[in-house]
Amino acid sequence: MRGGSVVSFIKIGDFFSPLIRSKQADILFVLSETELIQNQHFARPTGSQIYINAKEPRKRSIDADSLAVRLGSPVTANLVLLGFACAHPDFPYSHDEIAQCIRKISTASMVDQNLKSFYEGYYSFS
Amino acid sequence: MGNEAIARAIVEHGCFLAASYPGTPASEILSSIARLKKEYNLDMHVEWSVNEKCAFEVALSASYAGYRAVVAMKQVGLNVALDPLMSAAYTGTIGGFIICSADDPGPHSSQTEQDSRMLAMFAKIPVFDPSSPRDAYKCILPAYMLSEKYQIPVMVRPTTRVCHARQNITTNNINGFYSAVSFEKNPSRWAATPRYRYDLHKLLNKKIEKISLEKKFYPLQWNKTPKKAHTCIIASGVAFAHVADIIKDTSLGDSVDIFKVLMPYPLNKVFIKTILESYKHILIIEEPYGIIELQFPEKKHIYGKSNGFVPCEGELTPDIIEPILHHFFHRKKTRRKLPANLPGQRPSLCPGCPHRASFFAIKKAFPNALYPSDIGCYTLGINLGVVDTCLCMGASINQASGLFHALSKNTKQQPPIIATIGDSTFLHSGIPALINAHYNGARFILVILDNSTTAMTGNQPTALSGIRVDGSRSKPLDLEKVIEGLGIAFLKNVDPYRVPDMINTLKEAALFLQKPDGGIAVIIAKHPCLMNIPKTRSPQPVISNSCTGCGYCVKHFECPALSITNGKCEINTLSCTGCGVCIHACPIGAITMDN
Repeated sequence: MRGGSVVSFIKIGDFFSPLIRSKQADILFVLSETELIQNQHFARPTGSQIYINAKEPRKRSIDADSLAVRLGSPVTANLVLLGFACAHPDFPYSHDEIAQCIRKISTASMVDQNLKSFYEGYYSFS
Repeated sequence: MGNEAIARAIVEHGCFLAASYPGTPASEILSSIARLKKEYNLDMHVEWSVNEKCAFEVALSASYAGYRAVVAMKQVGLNVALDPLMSAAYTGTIGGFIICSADDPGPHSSQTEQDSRMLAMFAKIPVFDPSSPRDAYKCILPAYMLSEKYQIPVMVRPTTRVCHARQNITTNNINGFYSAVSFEKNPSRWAATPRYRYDLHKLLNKKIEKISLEKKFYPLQWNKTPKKAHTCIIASGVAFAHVADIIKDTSLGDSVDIFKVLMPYPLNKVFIKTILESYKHILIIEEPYGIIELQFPEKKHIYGKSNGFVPCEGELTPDIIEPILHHFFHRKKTRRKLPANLPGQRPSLCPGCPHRASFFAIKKAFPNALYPSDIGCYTLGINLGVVDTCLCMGASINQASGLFHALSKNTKQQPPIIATIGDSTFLHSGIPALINAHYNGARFILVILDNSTTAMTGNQPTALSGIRVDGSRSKPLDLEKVIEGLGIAFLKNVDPYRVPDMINTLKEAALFLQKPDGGIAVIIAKHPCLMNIPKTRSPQPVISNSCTGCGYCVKHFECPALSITNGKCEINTLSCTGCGVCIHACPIGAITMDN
C-alpha cells in the first residue's frame, strides 16, 4: 500500500496526550505540498515555522525531492527538509545536535547518506 | 511505542505463551514479544496463529495449565474470538490471562468503531483502559494479579493512540517464568455441561461483583481543587490524556474534580454512588462507546453520549474535546471551525504489486462481473473497480455463494461472480467458507491472491511461508493440496505477472462454471509481495512516441510510477519496479520493454 496521507505529532516536554490541537504547533514540516491545506490549521497563527518540501519556491520551502534524487537517495528527502529547517536562525536545535541524533538512530549503512542529505539541506539555506 | 511497552511488561511479568493474529493497531504487540524472546533467549512460546479464535484458545489453554498467557488482536479480531471469550469467562482461568484487544476510534484502519469494553461487559470480565503507553506498561502486572486472584480473564483495551504513540518508559528486569506447572483435570469446570454452567455463571456474577468493590481500582482523582466542587469530569483512555492537557493549558477547570478511570468495567460501585451524591454536573468523556456512562443508574446530572453532549461516533481528538469542555463549563455552545475534510491523497497498491496485475486481468477478462472481495491490501482493488464488497475477514467466499444462490434462479443472464481473497485471509476464515460454498452447490470463480504474507499489517509470515514468528522453520502449508482436499475440481496456479495466461485461465474457469458437472473454480494467483523480495534493477518499460496521453493507464491501471506529464505518459524510473505489467495496460501498445 502506498500514497495515503500520514500525520505525525511530536511533543517535547511534560504532556499527557500524544496529539496536538489546532493552532498549537510551533513547527510544521510539510513533507508533501499537497498536504499543506489540510494540515496548516495545526500551526500557531503567529510565530510558527512552516517548512515545506515543494517544487515551486515559496516561503521557507525547498525542493527536497529533487535534491535527494541528485544525492542518489530519494528516500532521504525528509532529511534534506530537516537540514534546511535547521539552518534557520529561529529553529530550536543546532545542526550539531540533529547530526548527533542522526548518527545515533540511523542503521550503520545509512549514516553517511543520511548526514549527506541533512547537510545538503542545511547548506541550501541562504 | 505503546505496543512495545505492552509487550515488554508482558514479558517482564513472566508470560509463558503469547498468541495473536496481526491487525492494526495491535500487530506490533506479538512481534515485540517475539523480539524480546530472542534478545533474552527466553524459552517461551510465541505464535502468529491462523486466526484470533485459534490464538485465543491456544493462549487460554496455557492459562488452564497454570502459566501466564496473553492473546492480542484488534477489536474486530475479538469478534472472531468471541465464542471462546464468552465461555472462558465462565470456566475462568488459572495462570494470569490477558486479552489485549486494541480499539480504533476514527476508524483509522478498521471496518467498525466497536468498543471492546462492551464485549468485556457482555462477557462479564474486567477491562483496563490505559491512557498512554506508560499507563499500558504499568497496568499489565495488576491485570495479571487480578486475573489470578479471581481466576478470570482480564482485558486490556488500548486504542490506536496508545498503541502507536511513543513515550519514554523506565523498564524493569526480565525475570523468567513461574516454576513448571501442569494441567489439572477438572471436567466439571473445563468441560462443564449446561448444568454446571449455571453454577459457573453464578460464580462469575459473584466474581464481577467483588471486583466492582475492589478498592485498588477505585478511580483516582487527578487534580486537587481548593474548595468543594460541584462539577466533575470522569474520563478514561487517551481521552483522559486529551482532557488533562487541555485543562492544564487553559484556565478551564479550576473548580472541577477530574477522575481518571483505569477500570471502566466493572466500574467501582462505591464510586458510582459517591459521584451521584456529590456532584450536580458530571461530564463523562470516553471512547468510542459510553461504557462508564452506561453503569450510572441515574442520568439526570450526566453530560455524555446518552444526551448527545459528547459525539457517539468518530475519534475524540483534542479538537473535538476542547469545545465540549467550554460548553460544559460555560453552558454555552461553541463550535470550533475545523477545515473541511478534504480528500487527501488516496492510497493505492505499490508499483509492481502482483494484486494490480491480477485485478487488471480480471477486469480485462470479465469487465461486467460481480466482484465480492475481502480484507487486505487488495481491498484497494476498489480503485480499479474490481472490488464490489468488503464486509469482514473471509466474507468474500460466502458472499459469492450468497450472490450466486440469490441471482441464479431469478436472473436470466447472471453476470459471472469473481471473488478475490488474500492467502492470509483465506487461511484465517476462507477455508470453512469454501467448504460451505462447494458443498451447497455455488458456482463462482475464486481467485486466491497469494503473495505468501500478511502484507497490509506489516508483512507477518503466513503458514504458506514456512517461517514462524521467532524465525524458526516450519513446513510450508501446501495450499493446492488443501483446496484439492475439499473436492474442488478446477484448480489452476498462475503467475499474475503473465497477464495473457491469467486472462486465459479466468476464461477457462468461466467455462467450467457452465458445465453440467461444474462447480467452483479456484485460481491461485501466486507472486510474492515485493516487500519480501530483494530489489533488483530489472529492465524498465519505456513510453514510445505513439503515446497519445489518453490517460487510460493512469486511470484503469493506477500504478504510482505512471503519470501524465505534458500530454504524455511518463514512467518514474525511481519507483518503477520493472514488472512490465503496464505493457498490457496500454490500449495502443505504446508502453514497450526496453531491451
